[in-house]
Amino acid sequence: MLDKDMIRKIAKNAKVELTEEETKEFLPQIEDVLEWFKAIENAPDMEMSMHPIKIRDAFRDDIVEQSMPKEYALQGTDHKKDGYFKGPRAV
Amino acid sequence: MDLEKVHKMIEVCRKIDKKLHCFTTICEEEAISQAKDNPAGKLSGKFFSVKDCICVKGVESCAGSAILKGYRPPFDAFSVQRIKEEGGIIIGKTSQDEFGFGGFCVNTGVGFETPKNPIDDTRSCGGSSGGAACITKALPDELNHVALAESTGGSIACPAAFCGTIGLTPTYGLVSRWGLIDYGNSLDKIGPIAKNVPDAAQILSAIAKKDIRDSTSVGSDGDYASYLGKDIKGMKIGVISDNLGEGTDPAVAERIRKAVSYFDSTGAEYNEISLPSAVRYGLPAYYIIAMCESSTNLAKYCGMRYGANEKLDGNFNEYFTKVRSRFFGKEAKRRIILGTYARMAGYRDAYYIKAMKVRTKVIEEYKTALKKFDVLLSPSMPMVAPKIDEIKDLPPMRHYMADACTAPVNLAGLPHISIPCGNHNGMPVGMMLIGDHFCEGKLISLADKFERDHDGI
Repeated sequence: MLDKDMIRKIAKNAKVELTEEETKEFLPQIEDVLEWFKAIENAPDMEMSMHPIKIRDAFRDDIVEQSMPKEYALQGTDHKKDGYFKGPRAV
Repeated sequence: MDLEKVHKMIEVCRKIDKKLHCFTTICEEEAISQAKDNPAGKLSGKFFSVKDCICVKGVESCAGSAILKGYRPPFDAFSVQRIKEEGGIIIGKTSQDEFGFGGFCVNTGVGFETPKNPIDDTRSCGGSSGGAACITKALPDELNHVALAESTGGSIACPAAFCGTIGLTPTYGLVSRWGLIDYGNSLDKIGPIAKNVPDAAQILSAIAKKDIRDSTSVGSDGDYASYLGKDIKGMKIGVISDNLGEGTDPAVAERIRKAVSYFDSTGAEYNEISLPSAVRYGLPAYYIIAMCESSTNLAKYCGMRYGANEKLDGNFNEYFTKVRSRFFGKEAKRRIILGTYARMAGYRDAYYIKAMKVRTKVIEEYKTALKKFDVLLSPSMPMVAPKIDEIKDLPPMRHYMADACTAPVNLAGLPHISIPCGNHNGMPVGMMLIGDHFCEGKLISLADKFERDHDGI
């Protein structure tokens, strides 16, 4: 059952905080969409297609190659220290 | 390339952008530096704009989202790399719905402008590759520009139809997605939006190569330009009757029927066909898969390693939540909620798993039809470009419904091309030709013939 509490719970899991206004706006919209999604209930059951075409496994040898230089990887953030990303505290 | 030409191109783009907001970034410095040291290739002399979600080395690439503001990729996407290798010059990144979440380009990210239709700036330029179609239409022919765009559920065909350009969406896997800021991994395709079919064919030949960095890349060494100028006599066209009735503007249906009559007069054969599973289930199944995949993809944006960030306050839950809540736009948040819900324990089988089973049924239905016909034909969009004021506040469901013609085709990963086939109220109508997997050549032959015989539409 979808209600405001459920939307807040999903948002919390997805690490998004919705304002009261957003929650109020989204609830009927999401209910409408979920109701519409039910249209597929009656479709025949077949094998799943994870992709539209057949994908072949792309194996390659396990060889160490040159990867992106560390400074390139770090250039997109202000949060770095001693050549590493700096993140928020864990707890 | 002559630097004067580059300066001129940038100047014209800036002028157009000021009025229509089709660019997120115009990269003059990079374009000049590229022109100074440009390899001679098959795309020499051509300018390219690149949809914001496709990475260009050193040029801000945000997928139209505030959460990626400031991100300058240290690499080129495979398709961009191919364009540069062949001598094409990149001039900027084009506007889009945030992460591709929309069909009208009104779901732009926080702080981004809404791009407008170059034919009537009170109207939508379509989405999500709206900026790509807008600049393609707005630039004069002699400036020799092609846009690199991307489609998940119709984001090349829709803006191409609304702006009156060619939009070629290749088969899923034909063009490598490496370097694409992904929306839905099992749905995303990179392809050209161009002023004419030969340009689109030429660009496809350049970018449709196998790439080992994308495990779904199939590639091709085909020369798609070789399908131009072909006789189409005897080709069989299946007209999708479901897309010409209820829900489609009668004026659009009438232009499509006129185009069918033209093909009939050239010796191509046509018959009407109904695709009940694609019509009934294709659109919701597409949206379920797209939302499930996108909500997963958006999980990586947390304001730590790249893009927008905040002061590192609080624990990781508090910090990530603060960044994501501030920088994601409304539609992104809505899709995160819907996609997360549809993947939750207890709902996953009914939504996500079932949608992937439906995809098999839809593919099978198209494949059966494409054994009988060389191509299928439909309107690209059921209407001409609507007024921005009339659509921006419509409920999301109304927006999703507008993808009725394109989403099932994209769900099945089939190649399709949108070509202008007339006007209604001064706005272009787009016709969509759909082929079997990896049969882009037939689409190019038919579209090219139609274009040559309808010059100026």
